[in-house]
Amino acid sequence: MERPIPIPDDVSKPFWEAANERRLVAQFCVACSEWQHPPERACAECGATPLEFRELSGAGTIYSVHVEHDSRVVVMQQHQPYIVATVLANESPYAVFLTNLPGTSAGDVAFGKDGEQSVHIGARVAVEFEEVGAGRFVPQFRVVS
Amino acid sequence: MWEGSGKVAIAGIGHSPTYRRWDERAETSLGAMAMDAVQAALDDCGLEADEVDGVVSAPGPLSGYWGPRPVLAAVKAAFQQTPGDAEDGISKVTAEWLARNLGLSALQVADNTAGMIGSVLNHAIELVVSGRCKAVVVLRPLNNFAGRYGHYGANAAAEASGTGQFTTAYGHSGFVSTMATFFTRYLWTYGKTHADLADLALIEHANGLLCDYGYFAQHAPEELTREQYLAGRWIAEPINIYDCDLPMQVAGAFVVTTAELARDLRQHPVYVRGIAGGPRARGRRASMYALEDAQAADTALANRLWQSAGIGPLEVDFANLYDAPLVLVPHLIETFGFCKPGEALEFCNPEQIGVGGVLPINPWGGNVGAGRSHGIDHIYEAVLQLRGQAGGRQIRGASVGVVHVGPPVNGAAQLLGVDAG
Ligand SMILES: [Zn+2]
Repeated sequence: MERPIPIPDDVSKPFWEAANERRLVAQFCVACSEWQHPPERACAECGATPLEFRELSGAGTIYSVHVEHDSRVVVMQQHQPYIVATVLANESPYAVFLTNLPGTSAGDVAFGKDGEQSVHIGARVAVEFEEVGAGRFVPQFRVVS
Repeated sequence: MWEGSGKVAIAGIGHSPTYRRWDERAETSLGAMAMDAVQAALDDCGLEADEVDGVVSAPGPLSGYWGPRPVLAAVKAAFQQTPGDAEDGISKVTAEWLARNLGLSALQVADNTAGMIGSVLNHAIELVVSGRCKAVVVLRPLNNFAGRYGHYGANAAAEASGTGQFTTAYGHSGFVSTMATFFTRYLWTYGKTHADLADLALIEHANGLLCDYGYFAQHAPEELTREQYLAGRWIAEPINIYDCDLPMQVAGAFVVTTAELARDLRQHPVYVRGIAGGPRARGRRASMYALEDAQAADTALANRLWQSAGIGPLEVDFANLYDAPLVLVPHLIETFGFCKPGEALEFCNPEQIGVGGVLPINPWGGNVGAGRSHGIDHIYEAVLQLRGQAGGRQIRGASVGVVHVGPPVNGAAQLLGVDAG
């Protein structure tokens, strides 16, 4: 799927290096004993720095979801309608990931109480890695039964 | 109670015309519109330019620079330029630009802030409460240029950097996407559907047609039917086109003075009874606007407002609640305590929130019904209502109103009244 290619910076570099090895990592604050993702320069709660990156299991749940029909992200317009789901890692509600939910079509997403659709908030997901360039990967999450 | 309660007033208000986009003429440039709005606000209250001792602007640009775009020579020639900043007066209007071009000669304070009009207004109010200023002009200019809104800059890039590594890379489109995900969570939590938003949408769009200074009444006065609403194309499902506010070019201005000074001016003062806002949210996942986080933060914001004014939600005659996009309104109705969590979509019926209802909400149509003013009109309309100058939208006996402008968590609010308390 053609998409804007993420450009690592000095804070996020360990995250993307791990992703290129098909591992999902996130920042962990030892002082708070809490995870944090997306990565920031310091712990957003206590200010501790630097934060170490630790590996996550890759399992999570869908916190919420929407479908883009008229996106401002020009490269993604060719994929409309496409899903953007928010995933919370099983390890922490503060390790927050977006995903396009590969394997699920936009019409399968449930909004509110209309219940014929199969994919809804609370669904369990597992990480996988999408190749976006030579040796370059971005994490995605797929619904697991 | 807040020490400033009743000691400050909104004495004057000014509004530019509304345009869908800038037509690249000097007289409709953002600087010209800002000057029009400020002059209108000064004329409204009868204050002279040399009596203004403070200017606070949220200068813009609204969503980053539209570019590349030439700055036209005719526009440059019509105004005094800010040295080294060709965009000033075009995509933004700073306090300095305004002071230079309007000849504000007695300024003690000229501030520019990154906030929206609600937090900028609070800043001006605090300048007056503190005694630093007696008469502050508050300015909000909003640019809208040719081309599709937001389809430029980082959104048009082949690469995603900065925070976009974790958002744009997945096609997350900005605030409307954030609010779509927010609303899915709301619908799921309370067992609702998007169609339950229809009454609110129809009320706002109908109110907007009664708003003489709004975009739709002037330029596109067409009624929205329930069938049209329910068939509206999705932007970011579950938000459709009729839940969004139409971007436009507009400017608004307010004159904030001491209560004493306001009583000597032309209009009945609208007193600031309470304010709430504060620094931007910090802490984990602050930019996510998770529903549960926002419910806690905005309930706390509302409680700070009620406490600062010594007034509770039952004493309010109307509420102007930020509605860009519309899905924010049920969240704010609940967090401001007008109904219980999860009940706002039922609450949003004409008998309850229509102009003649128990608690009118956004009587001029909000940003959804009257165009994207980014909250200018939430304040402008509150002042009109409290002065009894709202024409066909006038709420009978309106004496206390609440205003909220901004996103979840990071908004700002005022409690305004006909009386000083
Ligand atoms: Zn910490």
